[in-house]
Amino acid sequence: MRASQIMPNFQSSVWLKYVKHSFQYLVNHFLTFLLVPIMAASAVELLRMGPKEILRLCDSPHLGLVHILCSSLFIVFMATLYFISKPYPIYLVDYTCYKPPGTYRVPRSFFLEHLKLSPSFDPESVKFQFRILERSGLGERTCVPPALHYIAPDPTMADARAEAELVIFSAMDALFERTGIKPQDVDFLIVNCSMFSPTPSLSDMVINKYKMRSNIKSFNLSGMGCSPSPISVNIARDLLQVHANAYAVVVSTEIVTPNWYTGNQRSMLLPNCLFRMGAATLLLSNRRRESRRAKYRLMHVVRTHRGADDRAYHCVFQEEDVQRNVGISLSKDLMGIAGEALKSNITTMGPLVLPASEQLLFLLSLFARKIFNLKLKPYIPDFKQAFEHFCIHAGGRAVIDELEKNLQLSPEHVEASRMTLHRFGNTSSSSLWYEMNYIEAKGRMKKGDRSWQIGFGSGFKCNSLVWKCNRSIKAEADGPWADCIDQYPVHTVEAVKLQQ
Amino acid sequence: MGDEGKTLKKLVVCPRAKLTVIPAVPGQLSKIHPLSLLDHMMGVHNLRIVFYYKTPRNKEEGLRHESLKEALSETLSSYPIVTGRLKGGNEEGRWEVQCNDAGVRVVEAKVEGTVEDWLERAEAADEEGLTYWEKMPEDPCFWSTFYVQLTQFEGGGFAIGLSCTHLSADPTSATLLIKAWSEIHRRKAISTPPFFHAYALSPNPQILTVHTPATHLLHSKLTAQNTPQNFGENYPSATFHFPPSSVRTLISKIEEETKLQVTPFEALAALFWVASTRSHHTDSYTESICLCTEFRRLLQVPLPQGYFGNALHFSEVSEKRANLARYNSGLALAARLIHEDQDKAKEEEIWSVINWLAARKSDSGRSSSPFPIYGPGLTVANFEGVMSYNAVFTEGDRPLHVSYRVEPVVGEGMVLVLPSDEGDFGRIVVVTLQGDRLSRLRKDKEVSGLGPKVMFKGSLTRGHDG
Repeated sequence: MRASQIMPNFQSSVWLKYVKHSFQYLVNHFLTFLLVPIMAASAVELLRMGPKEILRLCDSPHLGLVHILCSSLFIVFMATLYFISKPYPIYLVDYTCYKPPGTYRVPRSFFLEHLKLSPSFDPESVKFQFRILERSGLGERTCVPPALHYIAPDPTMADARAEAELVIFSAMDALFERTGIKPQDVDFLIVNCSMFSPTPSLSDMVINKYKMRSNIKSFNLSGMGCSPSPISVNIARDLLQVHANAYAVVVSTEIVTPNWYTGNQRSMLLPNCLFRMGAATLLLSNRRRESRRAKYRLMHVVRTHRGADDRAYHCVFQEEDVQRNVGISLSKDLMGIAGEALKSNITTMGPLVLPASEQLLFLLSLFARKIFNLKLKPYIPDFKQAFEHFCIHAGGRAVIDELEKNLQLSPEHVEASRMTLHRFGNTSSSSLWYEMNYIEAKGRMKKGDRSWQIGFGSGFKCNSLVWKCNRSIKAEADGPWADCIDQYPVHTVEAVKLQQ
Repeated sequence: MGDEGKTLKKLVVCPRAKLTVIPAVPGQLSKIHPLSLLDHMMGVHNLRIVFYYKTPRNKEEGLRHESLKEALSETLSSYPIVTGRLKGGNEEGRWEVQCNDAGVRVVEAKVEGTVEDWLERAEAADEEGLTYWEKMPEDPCFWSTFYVQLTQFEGGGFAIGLSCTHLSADPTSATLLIKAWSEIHRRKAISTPPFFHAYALSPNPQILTVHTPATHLLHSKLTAQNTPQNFGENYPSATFHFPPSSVRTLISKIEEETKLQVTPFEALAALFWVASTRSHHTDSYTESICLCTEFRRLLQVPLPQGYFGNALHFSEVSEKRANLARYNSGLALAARLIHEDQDKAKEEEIWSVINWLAARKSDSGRSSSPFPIYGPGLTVANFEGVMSYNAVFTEGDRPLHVSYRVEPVVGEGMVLVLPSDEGDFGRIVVVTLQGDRLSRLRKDKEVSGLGPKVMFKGSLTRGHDG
């Protein structure tokens, strides 16, 4: 392209940008634009009147003592009503993520070798899993628990419990140490783990280990797929609205040990290649004094459930294959259904978070298409204006690609998700927290930044959390990314050719 | 008394027995390490080493599978070649190791009784159960070159078995791997870090392919593989434990006769040479043995002790049977011959061997496949420098005993001279001889006169994987 051709394009794009910014500024600060002239006019009027006239106005029968008293009482009453009805702010004081030791690593060569040596898989299944791994976006540092390092693993329930204790207790010890609160101070405990639900429950296990109070309110969520972290935070929020001065601990994890699929049904082979060990623990509170040290403030929780649709209900389904091996079957419609669930979610989310300019444009576009029947593409609101950071559940490369496309995000926005998938694999419900931690470790989280966490799960559910950063956050010396953050971001090649 | 030996035969392997341990820190996955010509030369053989650790005072103190595996994983981060996989067909037609972090196979096992009991009564075939080995398949890209077996003695004690292909390591390297593992287990740094240098033993174009005695010996080994050997399964083995005092007695006896200062290896090699000569009758006029020496420090530009790979040199000494078979004078003569061989400079011979191998490699066809090196004549190997008793996993707990075996055994057999738990001049000699020679050798006056303790008797289950 010649220079003279480039210049007009450049100039016109700059011009367009100015127009766009001016429009956004005008609409978003509309009220300000209205108020400013009114206040200016009143000020001018007052000045014109002079002090004598103002006093005369005050003394006039229209403004007697009773009136003043009533007015002030009224104002005080309204103010009190306002403050009482205002919901408690919900703070995320701090959170920790479990970092598995290097000895639990699953290098790709090891994984492939074990597939080949395992008596469970026929050559077709081995080849299929090879291909999944090549395209998976997982790196060399993802980890599985020790029971799955055996050739032809046959894990016991004791192994699963051992993994649960390891990941949950490590993360919880770190949380208590970091925040300084004692286990006895915890009022609510919510544990979510989809695929391992022993009796007594994992939340009971935590209460037993940390000798928590007898009047603690505990909840254990299971079977809710990869999205229960927002659900747990939702429960914590609702509880913290009702009980003042309380602490809630949320534990999000997935126990990988009992879920190794040993059959040959293609639709069930993906989880073996993607699921890895991880856990996150959060401390939430509504105490005013936590407002200073809390990392984030919870702004919105949006939950969408597509279970009423049969296709959505069956798209992630745990069942037995013909040989009675239990596995999770993923349907081919998964991406489409995820897209629909996301659309539902953002339809609710949009009005809550989008600036007025985007909402106006969306409304105008809607009118144009529906009422005037103009053939326009549906306007996709620019969520980049509502949020600084995006944490998309690292369910797999396809999910992240799909959302990047649908929400028109740039590679930088999905970097946290892609890098979490590379470093930790799909850790299910806790992946959102590894992604948040990545953003913090990179030093990108500033005070006032808004983050959007999107989780997808079986059912089919799409749940979102919106956080506002409460204070600028420095990278931690002991976080899960501390030893490797400098190596990221890595460029995950489309398909890594693996030795066959 | 005889019945108690039978109760030891049960070796129970845990149901969840086999796993893979990978290096804790990811390596450079694109790295390829070509194996040297000397590595290729050893390709027919594999090693089996067993380290025995005593019963701890209380149960909590003993070695545990979990902490051992963790320490192994950390150690393997420094040994990318051990966790890689063989890849064939580079431009020189040699094996290479693709350093892909695929890991080392580990087997977990249990056995009844205590380790002390085992050392008293176990036989050679039992000891094979303490190591795990898989033969190299046609395509070794998923085949682990190293195998570790962790055996818990239920009565108390532990055994760590390492087996590996001789392509990747000689006894010195393999022992240093275990030593490094023990240091990591004790949370110390590796004192002899591994040195990987693929081209340290490349052919030296400056030294022309001169025919030396060493190349002549190799050539005879090459041609011997085509003549029918006794591939029978009967290879009895015994482990002789010589206390320091016995070895000193032997050395001073030899010194008296020869006026030479001989090393424990030279003395014991001479002893077993003459005893083995007397143990069989043959029409041959001469009796020769093949001496195997580790040469890292013998080169003019020495290789570091941590050089990982094969650095073994084979030389031959022969003498008339009649002279050797005489008591006392035969021993002295043998000792002198061995001493002279060990003393002379090996530099030229070592390089001539490498050049000979390079020349041979360039011929296509079957002539370039490896052939048995420990054989067909009796091989006496000097492994007394392996620092096996420094593999201390728990502070203050040196191994009770360390056994080495080289497989397969071909031809007349082999004698391995190893250090002993007593240190100093104490030595352990593992002898594997064809047919009934071993039983006669055990009764030999000069051998039994030194009062060695004999352990791990009996036949090996596998003589030659033919």
